[in-house]
Amino acid sequence: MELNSWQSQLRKGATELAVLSVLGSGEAYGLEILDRANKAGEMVSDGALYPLLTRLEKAGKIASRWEAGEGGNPRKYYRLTEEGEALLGEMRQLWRGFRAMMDILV
Amino acid sequence: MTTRENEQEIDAYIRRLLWALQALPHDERLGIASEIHSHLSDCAARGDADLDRAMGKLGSPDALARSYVEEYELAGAVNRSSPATLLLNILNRGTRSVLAFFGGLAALSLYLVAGSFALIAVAKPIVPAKVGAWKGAHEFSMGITDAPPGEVHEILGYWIIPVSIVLGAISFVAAGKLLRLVGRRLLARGKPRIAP
Repeated sequence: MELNSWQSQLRKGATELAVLSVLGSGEAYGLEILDRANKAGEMVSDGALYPLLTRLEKAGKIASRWEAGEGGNPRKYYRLTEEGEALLGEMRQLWRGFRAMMDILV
Repeated sequence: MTTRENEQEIDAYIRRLLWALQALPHDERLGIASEIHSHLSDCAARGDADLDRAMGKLGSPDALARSYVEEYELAGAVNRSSPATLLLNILNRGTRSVLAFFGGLAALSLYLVAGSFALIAVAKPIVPAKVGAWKGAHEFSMGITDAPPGEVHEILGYWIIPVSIVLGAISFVAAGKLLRLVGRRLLARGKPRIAP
């Protein structure tokens, strides 16, 4: 139980970086982002992703456009803005420093 | 392909989501609903089990709406909106949160107090005899009245104008600070839920 909440805290902190990283490798819509972010394991949940995307878009870190997908289902594609690229770069640096510190400790 | 039953299930989810998102501006609600509709339709196209799993991971329409409303609309409100918008947002959440209820009520009261002081400062030069601070043996009253109390004397005179302006300004600033404090507390509470 305690382990679960600790794990969910870890994920919570990493979700934003995970989503920005996925978008760093190219434009994607919600389900694509989820598929890519969760390729290696449950990292980002559907219910957390969409509100997060809205917030990142409002903050000007990502931009979006609607496009008709296969079967006529319209999809909202997200891409990083310049501000988002810069944020991703800074978060990556911090993450690497953090990881190196923890590797020495653990 | 999406079956008719799946479509009905998705529509029901979207209807409840739209209803629960009422606090957001119309365009934003429609945008969110379209995106979630698209997400569920794509999942349904992968299979019935995928649709069920997707709905489970999104959470109930109410919970999802709460994530949107509390986290992002309030985030916008705390950073950009006027105190009036913020007050309305917080009072609107008062039905669901004790903190929002009492915080909103206290802020509203402070604004009313600030307004009363402003009214006193404005009214004093117009009807000097009816505005004042009166001190009796066992009582003290301050304000605007038709018939000033009898056995008491007025203590402030025209000093009531700067005194009211200062007290009013303090109430006004305190109300604003309280609103932002409550807003940030609600925000901290409404963080997005991550996969368990």
